[in-house]
Amino acid sequence: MIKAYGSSVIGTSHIVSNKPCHDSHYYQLFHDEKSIVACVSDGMGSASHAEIGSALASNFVVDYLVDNIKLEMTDEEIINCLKESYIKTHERLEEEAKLLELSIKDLNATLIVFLHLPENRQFGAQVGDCTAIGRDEDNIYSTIIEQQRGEYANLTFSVCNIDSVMNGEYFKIKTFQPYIAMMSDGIESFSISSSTNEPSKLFFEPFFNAFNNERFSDDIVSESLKRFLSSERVNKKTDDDKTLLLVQIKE
Amino acid sequence: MSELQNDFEFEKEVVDEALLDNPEPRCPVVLLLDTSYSMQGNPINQLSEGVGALYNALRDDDLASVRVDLSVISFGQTVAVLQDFATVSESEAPKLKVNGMTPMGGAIVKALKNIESRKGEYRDAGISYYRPWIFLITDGEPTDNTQEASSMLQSSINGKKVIFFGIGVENANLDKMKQISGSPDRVFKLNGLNFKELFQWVSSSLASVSSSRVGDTLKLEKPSDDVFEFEV
Repeated sequence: MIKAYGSSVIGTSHIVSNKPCHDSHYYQLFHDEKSIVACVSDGMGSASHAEIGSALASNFVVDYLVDNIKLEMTDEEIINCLKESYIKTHERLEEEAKLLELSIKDLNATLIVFLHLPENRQFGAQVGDCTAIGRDEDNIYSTIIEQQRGEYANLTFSVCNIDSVMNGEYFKIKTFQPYIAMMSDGIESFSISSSTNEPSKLFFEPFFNAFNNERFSDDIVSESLKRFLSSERVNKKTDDDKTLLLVQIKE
Repeated sequence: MSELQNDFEFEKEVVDEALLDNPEPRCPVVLLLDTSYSMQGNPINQLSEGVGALYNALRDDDLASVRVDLSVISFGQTVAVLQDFATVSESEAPKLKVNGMTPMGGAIVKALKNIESRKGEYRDAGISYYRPWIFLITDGEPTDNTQEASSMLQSSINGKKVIFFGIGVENANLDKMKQISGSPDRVFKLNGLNFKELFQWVSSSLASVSSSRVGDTLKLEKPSDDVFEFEV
């Protein structure tokens, strides 16, 4: 049994400058309902049509993986397929930029993907500065998909840049994580310690606990998450767009 | 319905302690100011006012006031760190006094070394940082040896380790500054002694960078004449 819910909420800096929310997220269960692919994408502030880039990248990469991942694939084949999904996403963005008579840079966006398959096989893919954390079966929290960091705080990588796609990270997650939280850097900035890289348990626990409430429904919980992400307390911590996407795997 | 909603009130369930206070990323900035004897009178007074205006403008910007890590180094009688790296919320604009020659080479070396050691402090404290900036302001030309300064500065600029601007006033030898930095497009002459306008520009550049991403191109009116684009 797999459950998921998430919200992307506009940041105060974009409200003030009258820009749309640049964050997107998307997830889909496979037909077997024992597998899921989930992603978060953060459109870059400097890109004129970042919201199109992040929305297109999210939808495309998830659909591509649902269509192309086969359960009988080896780990290596899955990792190759993940990389292929990013290359295809890049090509789709290139095509869209042409259609809109834009430069592909105008669609600049980061992209993180989490994939769970039966027998607790889990994979991650990363281009940019979104993050995923997990809580394992011993209730230990860790960062499972880290930000790609350059020397500078404002350095990030875009799925619109083919070198960044080729240098992206595509890998198998070592320890099975029944609870996963994916987020854009707006959320990461106050939920993961920048000095120790440790996730704030107090922050993530309530969102994970929601899955075990007998009245869980993704619509209702997403709405509550949206209210929280729009709250003044969160806006005091970041003026950036905010995405949080949560997944529970119960086999 | 209300009963259902009460089950998922994240605003209540996420306690205040859950939201971490990570340190703000910093943008190290060094003002290298010529305080040689030739700057006496109007130039030094205008420069002091301009630096004061920069501190005020940065204080007025929410992000820049906590992210811009500003140091002021003067070069005249000696190369002197008048203000070590600090955010404008925790420091004051230093007083400038004229004296002596123009040891510009020594000042550039000092700025680059101080930036490196500041970056070490950031790393130790788990603070992320932006590409450092150096603004060099002079009305003359170096009176010391600039060979080491020039080679260090050029390798920092070319290696994208630092964003450099050379600003000449009155009789400044712009060609010499262009030669030392190896970046003729980053050296320009200020209109008259309009330091206030210059530092408004510095402040708006820094405010833009403190919410930017590397590779973003800032497009700003430079305080001399035309529009000026550069990558942060």
